[in-house]
Amino acid sequence: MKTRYYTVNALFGNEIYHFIPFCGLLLKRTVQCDNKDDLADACFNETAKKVLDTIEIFKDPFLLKKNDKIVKVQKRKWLNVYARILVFGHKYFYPLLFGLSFFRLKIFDSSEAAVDYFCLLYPGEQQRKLCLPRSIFAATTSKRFSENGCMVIGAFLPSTNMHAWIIEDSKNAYRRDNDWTCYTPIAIMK
Amino acid sequence: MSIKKVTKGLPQPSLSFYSHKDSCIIPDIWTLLENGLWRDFDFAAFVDNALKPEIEQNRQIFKNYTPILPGFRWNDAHGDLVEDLYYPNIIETDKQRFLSVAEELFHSFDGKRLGVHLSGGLDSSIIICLLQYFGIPFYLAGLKSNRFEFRTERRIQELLAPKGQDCILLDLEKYPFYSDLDRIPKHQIPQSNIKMNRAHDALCEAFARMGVDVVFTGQGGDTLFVDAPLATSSFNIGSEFRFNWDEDFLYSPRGIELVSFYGCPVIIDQIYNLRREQKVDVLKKWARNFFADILPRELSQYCYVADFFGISMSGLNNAKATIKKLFEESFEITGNEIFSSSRTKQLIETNVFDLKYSTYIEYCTQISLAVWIYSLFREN
Repeated sequence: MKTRYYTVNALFGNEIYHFIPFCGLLLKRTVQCDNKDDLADACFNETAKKVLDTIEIFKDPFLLKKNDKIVKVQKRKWLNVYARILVFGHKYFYPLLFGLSFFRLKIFDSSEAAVDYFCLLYPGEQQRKLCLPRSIFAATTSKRFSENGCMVIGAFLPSTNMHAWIIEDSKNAYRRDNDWTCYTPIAIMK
Repeated sequence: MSIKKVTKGLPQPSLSFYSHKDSCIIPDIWTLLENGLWRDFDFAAFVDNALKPEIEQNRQIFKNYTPILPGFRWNDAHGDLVEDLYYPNIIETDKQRFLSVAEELFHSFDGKRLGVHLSGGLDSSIIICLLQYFGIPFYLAGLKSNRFEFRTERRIQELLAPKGQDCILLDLEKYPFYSDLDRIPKHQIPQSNIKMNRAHDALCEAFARMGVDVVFTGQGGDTLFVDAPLATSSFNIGSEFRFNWDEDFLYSPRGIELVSFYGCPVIIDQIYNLRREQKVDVLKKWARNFFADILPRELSQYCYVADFFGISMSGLNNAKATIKKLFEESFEITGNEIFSSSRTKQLIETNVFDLKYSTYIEYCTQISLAVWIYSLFREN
């Protein structure tokens, strides 16, 4: 299946939130509408909704499976450089990050192993602000992502705070992520 | 609002004051406030104390009177406040002994109708599951939110609700945060924990409707389950384990006793000793594992945590008109720059969803000041 971003408009009160994947922007517009059903229809994106519906975990976070134990992997210089490029893109040039997200390098057995590797490079508190490069690193280097994974971008509505995470084989690839349930999915890369 | 004078409010048993004039402790300052003590209040000192917790010595907010907050006592020898700390006893214990201690504690309330907060979080759920394990009947009340980020808490609430003799789940959207700032009960010194007053009042009323005499809260679970137990550990039960505002203004007036299960010294001793050698445990994995056989798998196997940021900021955003009114009234009464029109405008125009934590604390401190002044002069 060809990789693409599916955007899901999210509704909060009278506001519709729309994510633009190539520049990473979350747009918000207020809609004056008395009928909540009409408003819900206005944000309905059938294709994206179908993709979202196939992932049971969004409806029921308690279906999430436990992570495997951490497997130690040898550091590889070029992978470190790749991770640095992603972090650079995240800080200074978002379209680079977006462009790289379509690559499939297939290095690690799973997204979980890829995230563990990324966490070795950027340990501790640094990870708090690196959810997107971390997720793209995992999506592009996991062997199983194309078939069994998806990258989700969510917003903590009604704020525009965003978060990205990977669900692969019914597991969240980032074992320390316990607040993904707070973020309403606004885009899925699959 | 027609401004007349300060009128007395309800007693606040958790609060007392040290009078430097008379060198004694006094239970309240209502008469002094009526006589104009509020004019001596140092607004800048209060804001400073809230924003600079790293400074151990708080600046005096009244010239001649020091509030003795819960968890503190006046030390005559030092002429200052000292923390009232509980040092846990070192004991040998295990799960069986913990269970007997917990059962004995619950039985000490025999003859009274017990209630528990059903928040959907781990700490109060442990209390519910323990009561069910001991076969002790109890009643539940909780605040349920339909917001996306609370769906895991909703599930826990749905799972545990049938375990109570009766359960009232209130819709939190009907009692938004910060929605009763102009109706907060009169209080003697500014309070920061007023944002959920309306929701907690409704919750307390629900317990009263069910005829509950004693309500257990999970307050203090964070301290016992998260912090690393050290040889030097001590606990400030008065400030860390209790909802003093709720006790004084909501539960006591309705004749309901609000009890922190984790604030009971026998429970502190047990958990402290059971967790000895443990490290800081932010996700409370020790507790999830220790109580795994009585908790639903949703709590023992998952570490989801409710994030109140969204609901709290939505409430603050919707309360802006009231906040403006309170600031205007407070400026009229005190003339203090904190409530000036430029400050008010700045606060009202801020996008609360982009607030830094320190700015949020600053705003909340200012709001608590305006709420205090407004409440003092409100007729009822």
